[in-house]
Amino acid sequence: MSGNGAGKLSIDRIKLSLDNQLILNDISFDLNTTDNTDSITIIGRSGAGKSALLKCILGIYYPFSGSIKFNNQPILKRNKEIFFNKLGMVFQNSALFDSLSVWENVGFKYLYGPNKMPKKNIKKLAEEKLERVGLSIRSANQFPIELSGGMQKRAAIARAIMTEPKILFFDEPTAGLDPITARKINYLIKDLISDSKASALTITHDINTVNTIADRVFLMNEGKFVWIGCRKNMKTSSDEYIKDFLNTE
Amino acid sequence: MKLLIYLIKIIQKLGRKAEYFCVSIGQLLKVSLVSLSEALTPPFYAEPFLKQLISVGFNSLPVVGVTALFTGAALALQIFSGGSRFNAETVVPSIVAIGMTRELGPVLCGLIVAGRLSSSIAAEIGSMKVTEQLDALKSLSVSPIRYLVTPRLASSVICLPILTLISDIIGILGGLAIGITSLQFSLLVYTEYTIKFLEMSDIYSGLIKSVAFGIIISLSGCYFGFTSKGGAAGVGKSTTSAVITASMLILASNYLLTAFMFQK
Repeated sequence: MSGNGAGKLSIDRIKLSLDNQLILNDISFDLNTTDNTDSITIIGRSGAGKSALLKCILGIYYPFSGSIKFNNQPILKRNKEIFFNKLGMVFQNSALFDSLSVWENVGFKYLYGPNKMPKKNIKKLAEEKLERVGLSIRSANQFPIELSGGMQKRAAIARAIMTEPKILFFDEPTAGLDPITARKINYLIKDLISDSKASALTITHDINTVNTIADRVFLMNEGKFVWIGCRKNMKTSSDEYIKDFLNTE
Repeated sequence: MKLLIYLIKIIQKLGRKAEYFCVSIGQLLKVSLVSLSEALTPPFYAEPFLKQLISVGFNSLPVVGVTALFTGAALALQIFSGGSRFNAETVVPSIVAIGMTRELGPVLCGLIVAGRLSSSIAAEIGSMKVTEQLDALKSLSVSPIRYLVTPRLASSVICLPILTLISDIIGILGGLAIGITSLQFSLLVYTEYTIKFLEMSDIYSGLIKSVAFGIIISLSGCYFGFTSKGGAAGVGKSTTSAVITASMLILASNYLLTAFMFQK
């Protein structure tokens, strides 16, 4: 798998502080999206700084030191636009827009983003994506409030894949779901990553998500990576943090 | 020594409040300037703007109309009763018209719409913030200010003067209804006295005020929505703050604009 049209996302020694508290401390890693699809999963307990890291990458939080680069360029202005055009994001609580129908949510980037399309085409494409994630066309005209938690998550995934991004971010994709639905969502994500040849960065504390979709696993504790390794090496690792995490989960 | 520590603590608290106040004013100014610059540059979002026009303008009409009708009627009764003390009952039509157009029409309309709109904007944006919908907008390459603030600001600036004009007319009609039914005015006399002493500057001044009130109402709601913190309780707090701040700013700016336009 080569040349999928994306680039390299490089996080270099970032530090983030919120309300005078150090949330991220010297975080570095690369997400390679050019030559091979890469699926990084960041695990850790609640409050470890996982979601804050994702928000730094999205430009919602600003680290006070270090850099976040896409294709060796800081994610600013023009480069930010290029980066945002190549990414799809699924938020922890789905974050669907309540006042819009499901298809408008899915097609939002084309309805209001920089690359506009005729409304009819957007609806058709949105319906295709909804079918791809296992939702019926009937749900397209419903409002998010009318959907169950699992269906909302699927709609959020459909929104993330609408523009066929090469980088997918998932923030706690199975949070608040029952085990059966969570398993279905994990497999859906796995299929989407392999079908779209996209690289993924997933934040989770669900060990089943790790086992289903991760290539590389980063364990975070108090704003730092305390263990980095291949998913297959997790169970055999003698590291105290990883043992502790696996036992707790 | 204890007194000194106590004093230092009070000064620290005051300092923090002053800092919070200055930061809030700075953020409000920033949001205002960014909204203004984004309102004037493409892309323009027609659909959210039209939705807001209906929400701000059309949906506010009943409450604004009823308020103006009863205010105009009560004003006519008050002026008639007060004016009769020095045989000046004939001023009722003129004072109702001038009072409604210059002062009561815009201020009451502003306060009523502030109660309706600032709270709903703060609640909507606040709940979007706590459910990460604002972050989702950013991740979808859409500016939350352009998508959420600009349509609300533009629709308020357009709708408030129209609502004020309607409020003026209904208020004057309320006065007229009481004038001819209870105060022994003939329709012709009441209308003549209303038109005779009413100047265009009375109407313009009220409309100018209403534009300022429109800006205050929408920006106050948006600002408190964007700065909401801490779940449902935080959203509730923002909603209350938005209405109180908008109402106070409307009254303060009303005085300043009145002083600026009419003080000789």
